[in-house]
Amino acid sequence: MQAEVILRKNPNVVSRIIGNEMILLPIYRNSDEINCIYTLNKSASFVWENLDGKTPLGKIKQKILKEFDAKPEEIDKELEKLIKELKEIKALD
Amino acid sequence: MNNIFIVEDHDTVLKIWKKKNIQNLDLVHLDAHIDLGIHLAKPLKKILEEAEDIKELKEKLEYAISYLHYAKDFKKQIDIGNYIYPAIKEDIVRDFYWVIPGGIKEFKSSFKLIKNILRDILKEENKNEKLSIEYLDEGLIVSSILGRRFFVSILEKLPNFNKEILLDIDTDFLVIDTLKKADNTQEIGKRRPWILPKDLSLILKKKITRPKIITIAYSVNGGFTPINYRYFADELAYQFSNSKFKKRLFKKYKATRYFLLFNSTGKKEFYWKAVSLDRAFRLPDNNYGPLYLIKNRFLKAQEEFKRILKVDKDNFGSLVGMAQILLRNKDFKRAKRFFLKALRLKNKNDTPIHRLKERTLFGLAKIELKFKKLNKAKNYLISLKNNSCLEPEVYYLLGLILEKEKKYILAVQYYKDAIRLGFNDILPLKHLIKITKYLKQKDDIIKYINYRYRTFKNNFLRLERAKKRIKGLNSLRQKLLDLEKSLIQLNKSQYNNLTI
Repeated sequence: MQAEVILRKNPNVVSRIIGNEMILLPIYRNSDEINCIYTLNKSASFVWENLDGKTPLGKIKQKILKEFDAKPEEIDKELEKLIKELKEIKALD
Repeated sequence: MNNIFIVEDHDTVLKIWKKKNIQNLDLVHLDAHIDLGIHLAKPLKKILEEAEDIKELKEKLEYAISYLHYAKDFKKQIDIGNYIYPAIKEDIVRDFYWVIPGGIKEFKSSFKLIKNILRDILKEENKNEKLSIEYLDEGLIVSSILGRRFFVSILEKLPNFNKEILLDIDTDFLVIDTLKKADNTQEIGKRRPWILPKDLSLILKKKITRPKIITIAYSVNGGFTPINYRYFADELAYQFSNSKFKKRLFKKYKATRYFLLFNSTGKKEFYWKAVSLDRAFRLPDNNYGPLYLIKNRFLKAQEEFKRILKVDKDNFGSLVGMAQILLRNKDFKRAKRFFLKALRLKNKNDTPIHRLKERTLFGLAKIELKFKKLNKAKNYLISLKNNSCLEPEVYYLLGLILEKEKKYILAVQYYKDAIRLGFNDILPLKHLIKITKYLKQKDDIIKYINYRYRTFKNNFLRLERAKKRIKGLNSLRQKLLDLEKSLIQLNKSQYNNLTI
């Protein structure tokens, strides 16, 4: 994981917490591109909320360490996986 | 008074308000209909912001996405029954005064209906908000809807306004004497004015001294105002501004007299004299056929269409009407002839033909399907699809054709769209179950079928619990049971332990 990388959310993906879940919704003009909504679990929601286009990944990792009971190696792995998935669904620029 | 506009269909007034850059004015709306339907397909961001739970989010998104997919633009939702909604949302209208027809007696007898109308709007916009009503006077109440003060009153109790307001009148207000008879299929051929344009204008002039804009809708399309009273709109405009509308009123009045003569004698010359003075007398609602058709009074409808076709053989509305009756009577060959004749007309009588053209293409598609001409049927349906038609059955029939052509993935898409757009039957689900065996990737579609089946079943159970007499409920129960059996089998074959 590259600690200095700063990621930006795609403005065409909006989000909101409903119930206990963070929902991601693509809002493209072309409806063909909108197939589903995505739900994030608690830790993924935490990451999503911190992806503000200013905070580097390393700092987000530090925040996760404070917030959740997990080992740094596990966080690295999970964070990498999440970023990959978010990129796949075009939630990140 | 210069700002008086007469429009054919009521939703045109929204364009006028926008063009005139109206902002934050109270609206006085005299109409037998509230015209405040909620737009169900909203921008996706808005749906996400407003959803109270995931279920609501999914349901509203499904409809909006399908709507967007075919209609391309949410503005296409605007129609005669809902143009005030965007006017409120865009801050054109501030407080809303709905003046309903009749006097105190009619207000009292329609009160339950008024409450239901208000409650429905409230529920559609925000399901948790409860309706509260304040009684200001006999025949005048106020509530709060869409964040605005919302008054309902009879003409007599409408307050006086000394400020600028929007005055909006539907001609049907003058010929429907109570809200209880506001449906276009009630009192077919029997509607008579309960108040005359001159009397109405006198009252309004006293109560509203500074109307910023006066809009008046004929509302003949759809059969709300009988065509014989169309000129009431012109007379109202004349009462507010004599000089501007005098000539126009005279012409319209003359046309009406000729048309009445045609109605009583059946003579062609009177019909065409009326049409030459006002082309609107060729509109699809120049007879009661369309209304009888809605009421399934086919003989009466046929009589009406024939009466028009006898003097105007190229009348688009009556040709389509006749074709619809023939189609219903399974006289497919003749129905096709009528539909095709209507479709081939170069000048479709200058009428608002969009919906009738949709019916024509749809009728032809059904006929070609009966004749097993799948390609021809498909072409008609694709043409409807390309013209942003949102009729769910169009997509169901496209699904059927593509299923027959073994194009299963596309068929799935169309069946799903038919459901999303509100197809009121379980047939698409039945076909989706059938199709799954031909699909390689079926997990998502099986999940979808289960989800949709549950929604459909819950709605059915709700109807059953309501214990209302609903036609076809028993056969629907049987269909649901059959569907459930095949769904259980499908689930068993797919996931051994899935329960529904």
